[in-house]
Amino acid sequence: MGRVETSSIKPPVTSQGVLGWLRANLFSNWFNSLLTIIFMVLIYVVARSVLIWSVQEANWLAVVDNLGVLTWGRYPSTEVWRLGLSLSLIVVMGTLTWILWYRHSNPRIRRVLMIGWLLMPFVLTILIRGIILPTFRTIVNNIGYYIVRPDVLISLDQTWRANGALTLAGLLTGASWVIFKKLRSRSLAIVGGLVIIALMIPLSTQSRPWIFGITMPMAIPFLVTFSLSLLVGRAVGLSFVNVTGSARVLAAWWLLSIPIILIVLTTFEVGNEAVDPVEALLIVPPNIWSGILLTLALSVVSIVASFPIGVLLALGRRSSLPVVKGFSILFIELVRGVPLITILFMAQVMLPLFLPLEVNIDRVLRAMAGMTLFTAAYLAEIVRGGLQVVRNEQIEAARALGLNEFLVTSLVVLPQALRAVIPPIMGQFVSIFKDTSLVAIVGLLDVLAVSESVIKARDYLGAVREMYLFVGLFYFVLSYAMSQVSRRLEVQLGVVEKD
Amino acid sequence: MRPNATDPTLLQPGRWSFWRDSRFLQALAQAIFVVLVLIAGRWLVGNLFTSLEERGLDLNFQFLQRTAGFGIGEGLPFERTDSFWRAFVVGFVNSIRVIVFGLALATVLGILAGISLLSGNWLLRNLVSAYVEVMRNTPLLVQLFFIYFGIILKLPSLQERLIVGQFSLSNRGFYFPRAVPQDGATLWLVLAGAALVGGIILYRILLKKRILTGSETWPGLKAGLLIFGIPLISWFLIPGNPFTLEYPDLVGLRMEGGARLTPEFAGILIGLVLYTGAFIADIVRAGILAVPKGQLEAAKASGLTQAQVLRLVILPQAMRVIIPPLTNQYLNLAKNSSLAVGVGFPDLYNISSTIFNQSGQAVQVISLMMVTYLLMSLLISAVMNVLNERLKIPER
Repeated sequence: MGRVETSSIKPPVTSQGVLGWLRANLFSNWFNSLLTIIFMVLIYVVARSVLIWSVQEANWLAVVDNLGVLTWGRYPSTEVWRLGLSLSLIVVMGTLTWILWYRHSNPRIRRVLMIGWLLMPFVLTILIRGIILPTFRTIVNNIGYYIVRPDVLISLDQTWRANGALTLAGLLTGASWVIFKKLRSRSLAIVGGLVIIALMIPLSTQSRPWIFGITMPMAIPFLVTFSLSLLVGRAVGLSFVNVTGSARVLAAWWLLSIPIILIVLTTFEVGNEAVDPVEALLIVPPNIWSGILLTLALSVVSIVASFPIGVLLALGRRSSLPVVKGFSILFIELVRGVPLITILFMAQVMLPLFLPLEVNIDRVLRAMAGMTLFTAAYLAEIVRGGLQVVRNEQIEAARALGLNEFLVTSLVVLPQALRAVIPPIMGQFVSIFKDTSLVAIVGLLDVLAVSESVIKARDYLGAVREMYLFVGLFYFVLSYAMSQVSRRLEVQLGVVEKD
Repeated sequence: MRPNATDPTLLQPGRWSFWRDSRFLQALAQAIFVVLVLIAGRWLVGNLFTSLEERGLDLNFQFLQRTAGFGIGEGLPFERTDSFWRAFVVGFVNSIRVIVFGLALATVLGILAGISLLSGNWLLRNLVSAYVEVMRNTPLLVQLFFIYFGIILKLPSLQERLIVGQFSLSNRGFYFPRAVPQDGATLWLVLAGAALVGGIILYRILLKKRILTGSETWPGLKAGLLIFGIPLISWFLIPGNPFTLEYPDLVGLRMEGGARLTPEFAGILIGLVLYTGAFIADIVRAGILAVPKGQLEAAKASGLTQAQVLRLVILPQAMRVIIPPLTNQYLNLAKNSSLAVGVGFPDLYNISSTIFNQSGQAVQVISLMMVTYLLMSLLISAVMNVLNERLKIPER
């Protein structure tokens, strides 16, 4: 090229200021300039028509007038305050956790918060679904039924109540036997167990067909239930025998079990002579939940309920037992290979065939069951990824310290594995939240289905775009927020690999 | 009672009770698991038979021979008097159509959008990134409803259709000219096919020669001449045109002739492509970013053009990172095609649920449908696995 005359070199193009920015980012070469111009024209045309449409033609009243219907659907309007209370509970708990968790690493505060979050599902279920509480008269009346007319209970197919109470009693007694050191506490626990068994005596003498159609006195299945849960309780108790504070926790469980057993055994309605239990909070059964309430309930329930199943499946898939491993792989791959909508369809029309004729689960619960199984399979694969992250030395070190397999898994492996997969689990939550819209196809009234029915109403006919834009915006705001949280968590937990 | 580790008797077999032996415990655990599964299975199957008896249903597939009694909007020819099985096949083929077109278009869109996400053009980058975020954070079903009810069905009616030449767009679909095969069509197609195969082989031979000898052999030019030249020449040599165009025309209240893209098919296809394309874009972006920067710099230093850098250096390496998550997206697209029911397109799920409504045979219909979807998923992952194997870096 030869030497260039210094005077012929142009001054460098500015790289600062608005002009510099424009040149660098929009007009760096002819191709980019062309792209910029094409897209500017495109944006202008689209934005102009969208603006004109949204100001002149759109009927936003369709959305504004129906905000209530879209949010809680057919939830009784006098009871809507319960939804508001639930929401504020979540917000308050969330804010408290956000503020307190990292600022005070005081383990006691953390424990209180953890317990709060663990109790949340129960509190929210009671708030939203309502609750029937027995009055003193109902309790006396129903316990009377237990003793005088146990046959009535069987005809009502209420024996699961007895089995439930027995399981709880068995677990607690079994754990108490190894955890409580003092003779007095031990004897108290045994007396507690005996009292519950005594409550079952009238029911035990009745006979009814059990599995495989063999008729036998109820005492036999009861005994099986009780002894099995006794063994399980003892095993669990052994795992925590030297953990400080375990005795106190167990005592708290005993106290908690009294109201649970009372509710389990006495909230049934029998005969005309029965004294009605009091509806402390009006029962709003899930099958009339609709709108955003249903969308949120479906996604929260399926992610929470699928969590334990997913963890078990992931552990099962890595298990050394070929039968368990094969079962887990089969389940996970089958579910992951078919569309969610077919599973929802199956839950609606095929599930009832596999249940006894007298059991009638409502549509929303069926959809929840379907979504839970579906999510569990995907969670299992996520958790499996986390389990692979945990290094073998960790497991060997834990074993060398003398921990048994249960403790190795629950105290060493799972905490590390789950921590590593929090971001993908959040991602799964976003995806399940979006997928709840599919229940509209199988006839449930989620926010999408409600908006469809609003559009069909005479006053709002044709407000299709407005409505779906609103629904889209609702999903977008929540999903986007969740994915941003997930990204922040990724950085905070240091999961992202650094170069 | 803790045994002393130095105690020599410990090493003798038979010192430990058999129920402390892990092999025994494992066998026991599995036996218990099997028994529990059997009990649960026995209970479920028992219930199933009671319910079936109660509803007067059975478990065989005879009902598939019965007359369907419903019509199907599009796809293979189908009459009301055809069997349920025939209806199922029509639905299956419709699903396959959506999936095949969807996969192809979503891949193209995804790659373009993925590259745009890394573009130096601020406007393009941010527009595409807004598109990706919106698609990823709203449910596919809402998008489908918006596209189908909010846009396609709001197009002008057939009478006021938008016309460009022989193409017309209305809320009854997109009409375009149809190629009608004439006498010479078979011969022409065979020739064109042969030219295509021959062209590809020629390209490979010439390319190899160029790589081996270093002398310019013009592979692309010569192969292109062969592929396009032969069909062009034979078009004029074969007496009469191999294909003639049939134009759509408004006759009374409906269109006659020509080909038609139905609103339902367009709705599900556009929805699936836009949705999956956004996910693929993110994967492509991540794949390109995963290529070490040195590769890019080395390629540029070798004097390759921007396009060559992308085509010859970046994409082949990015593909290895891209393929596994791309497989997942392909599987998702295949599974999401079942949402066609939302826009009323008669796909596999839609037809299956209609068959269920007509026959009531829940167990058979659902198993048939699920097995079909499962096989489609398996096929896609098998193909993608083969592709993945072929793209692997050959190890010495």
